[in-house]
Amino acid sequence: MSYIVPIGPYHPALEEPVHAKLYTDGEQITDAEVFIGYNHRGIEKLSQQKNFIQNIVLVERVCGICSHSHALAFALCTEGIMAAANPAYAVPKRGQYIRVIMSELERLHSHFLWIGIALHIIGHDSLFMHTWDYREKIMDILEEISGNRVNYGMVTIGGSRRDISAETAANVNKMLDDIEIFNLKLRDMLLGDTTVALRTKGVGVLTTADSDRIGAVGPHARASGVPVDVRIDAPYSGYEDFEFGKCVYPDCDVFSRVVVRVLENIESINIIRQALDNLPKGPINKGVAIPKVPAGEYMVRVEAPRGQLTYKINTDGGECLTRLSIHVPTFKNAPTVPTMLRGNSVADAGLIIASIDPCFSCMDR
Amino acid sequence: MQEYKKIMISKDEIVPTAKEMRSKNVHLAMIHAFIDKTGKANVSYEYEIGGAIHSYTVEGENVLPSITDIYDLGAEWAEREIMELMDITFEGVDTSKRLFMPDSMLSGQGHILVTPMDELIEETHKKPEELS
Repeated sequence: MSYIVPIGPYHPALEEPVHAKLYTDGEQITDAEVFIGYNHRGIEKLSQQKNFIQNIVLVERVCGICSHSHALAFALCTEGIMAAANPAYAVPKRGQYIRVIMSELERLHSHFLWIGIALHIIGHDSLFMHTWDYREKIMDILEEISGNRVNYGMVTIGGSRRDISAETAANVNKMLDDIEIFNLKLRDMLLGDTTVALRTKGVGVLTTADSDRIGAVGPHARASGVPVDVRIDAPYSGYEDFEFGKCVYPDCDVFSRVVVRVLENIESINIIRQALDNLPKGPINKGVAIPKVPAGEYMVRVEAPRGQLTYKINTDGGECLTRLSIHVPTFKNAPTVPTMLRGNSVADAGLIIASIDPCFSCMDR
Repeated sequence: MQEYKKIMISKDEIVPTAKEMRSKNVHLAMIHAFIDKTGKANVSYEYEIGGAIHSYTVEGENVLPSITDIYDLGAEWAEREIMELMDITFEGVDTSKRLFMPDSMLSGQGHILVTPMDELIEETHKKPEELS
């Protein structure tokens, strides 16, 4: 018997609204369609009415999880236009390193969030609660550094808005020690647990060829064996100064996506330690005045926790920009969902959709 | 600083360029579009080549060929989004279902990126019975 099974826009397995139509033959999904736009807030349109400093505040509100990545991408894009007109324009190194530290702390809390949700969906609630307990330690440190648990307000055009004191740096290192021990335990539990393996191995397969064809990005692509990582392929904000690797896993299923994120946590911890140990002395920004941005255009890519985030800005030399284009990793990974769903059971649909670590608020802007 | 290079192309060069890029396994980072203050359309195909972005840009054309048969859903979603947000059309893309804007908006409606802000605010404050 064939049915069309609707999932969403509101569904317990989804933190945010999206609508999927599953075409089924009995329990098996034969095809699927995805519809987006339920969280559209017109942020790109609004950005045309604001100056460059006001826009940092606006773009941070695109997403509550990866807000720093949005502010960073916007700042890098604006700085790119300014550097094209004035090649001597450069962000102070200390400001760059603080941006990196915030980016990696954000990646850590985002990956812990996703691992917790995945565990909850597969019914492993005790480990879900342990994972989120440790995520709180990261949130506490983010609050200590920035004053906020989300929407940190740490980025400005030309650097960072707040410094990291020696005392805070010591607290970050202490937190990293705790998180590292837990993450290693988590890795061993996830990779060795039969329940996790039964619910995730061979589920929601996205082959390397399909990932390439559709253009998946970030941990989702790396879990399909595609070695892409903007931090290494096109370094920004001083990432070229740090030693770390791409976490690629070839299994192409939900299990592979779990493995990649757990391993990336280890790399993020290493990057933060390197940044804190080698934090350069000097200013953190180039002043707080509203920048005068010349006419031009620039596009930047940032490795947000969920993958490649792209910002493009067009300016005409005025107080406001003329066009801001924001495209988030979910916009590039969501088209892979129908391919992953085909041939799987309806019961796994929630897990498969969640496995791309979707952020529909981001995607809809 | 990431490298960004703009290359102007004509409408006829869009498909051959996409085919060449696909054959070299070049990632299409995104398709960007905007309508400038003079009403001129500007569409850029952003390819990632060796860590740099090569932005192949077409200006002044509102109807363009689709590259969805070359870059699949990665291009289709970008093209559909552009079609729904501004007055630019990609030939051959299915517009019978909305990707981004509400289903109730017919083709040609909902181009919020080119609608003046005053009109959008006025529309937002209309009562349900006043909505067209």
